[in-house]
Amino acid sequence: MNRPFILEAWKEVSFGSLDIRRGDIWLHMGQGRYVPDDYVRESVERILTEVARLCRPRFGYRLFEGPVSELFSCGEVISSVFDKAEKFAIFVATSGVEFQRYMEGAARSGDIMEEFMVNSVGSEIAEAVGRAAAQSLAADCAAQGLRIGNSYSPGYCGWSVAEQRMLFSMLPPAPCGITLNGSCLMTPIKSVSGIIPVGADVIKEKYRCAYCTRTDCYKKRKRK
Amino acid sequence: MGTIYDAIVAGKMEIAIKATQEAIEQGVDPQEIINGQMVTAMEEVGSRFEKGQAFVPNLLLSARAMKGALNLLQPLLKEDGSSSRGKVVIGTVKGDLHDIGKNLVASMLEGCGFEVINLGTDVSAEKFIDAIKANDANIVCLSALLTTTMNYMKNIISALDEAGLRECVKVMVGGAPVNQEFADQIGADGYSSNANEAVALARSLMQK
Repeated sequence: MNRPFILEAWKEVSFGSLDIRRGDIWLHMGQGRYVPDDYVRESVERILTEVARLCRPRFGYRLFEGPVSELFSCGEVISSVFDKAEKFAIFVATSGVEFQRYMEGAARSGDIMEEFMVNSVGSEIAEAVGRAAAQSLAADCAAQGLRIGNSYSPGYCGWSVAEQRMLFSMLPPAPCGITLNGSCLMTPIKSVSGIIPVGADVIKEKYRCAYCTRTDCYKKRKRK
Repeated sequence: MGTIYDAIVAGKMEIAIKATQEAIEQGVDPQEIINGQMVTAMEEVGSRFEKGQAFVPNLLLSARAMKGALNLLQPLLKEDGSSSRGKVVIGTVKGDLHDIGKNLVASMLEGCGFEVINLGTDVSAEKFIDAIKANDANIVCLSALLTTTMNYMKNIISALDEAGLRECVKVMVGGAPVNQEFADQIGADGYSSNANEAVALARSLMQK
């Protein structure tokens, strides 16, 4: 879709600059009360060290004018969050194809525990790149006297994953190297996409996890 | 119980392998090792998981320890299939590339004595049918993580019908967007929300 945007940014970030939260990795791996033993902690640190040498995380976003409801049917929960937003940003963030290859190698090893730990680390990397994207957007918007809210992604909070197609149509082809398949699945798999409300009166609210039907979301686990 | 039991419950693969090797050298019946220690150990870990006293990583470490020890016993078991709890074909359905949840279930099933044929991701109905026929499978497990791919499970069940296989194989479904209601709707034999439940379900389906 050829809708004009107000600003855009496309960046590769250094792995070392990412805020990788160990606590969130444990949440990806289990429920809130899971306490990893030394083996798991040491393995995750080893994986992070290996990944730091090869991972090339990237993010990008575009800022648009107008209500988000003109483009997306994102459901009651998300729509209400965008009520006070005169603008909205669409973003993508990815752990990158290099990490995808590393993850595929772990899967081929046949060691399910290694595969599981790499997968959990990958989820946290994607989240961390998403947070870096939001920070960068917040800085860009602050320069214009605007504030940003929380990010929301297709597939969560009642928003159909099929709307990924519309979301990606607002960005350049294969943004940050991310492609969508016929089922709206992103590759590299450890990628996130979404929308963020932007406006002078936008505030960051608590996530409305109680309204979301997903049971496997780590954000819900975190807030239990 | 015994060292093998303790090692599997604790998820210590090296210790489980070493203790199994020692038991073999002492002439302990392989079937006794499996039923007397390994399976009971996995049942204990499963029970702890259900009570919230163990988590997915604990299940996986135990399943890995069990699998490692089981590899030593495989050549010593009868080749008539009597030591297997059943044959399971498993895969993530066409259009979906999510691997890990399906692999967790595969690993737990293997750890609990099932023979598992893992077809990977993006698996078509034809590939499922070919694998079921080739392996004479008792159960087929279908996984999907997206609302856009879960409906393909229904296509697979229809294809099983058309191939005349529906009465020969039980269908289990799972994945984040799937629930019991959906499983009933598409005519699956069972749904499980986690790897531990999947093992219990597979066991109960084998009794039917």
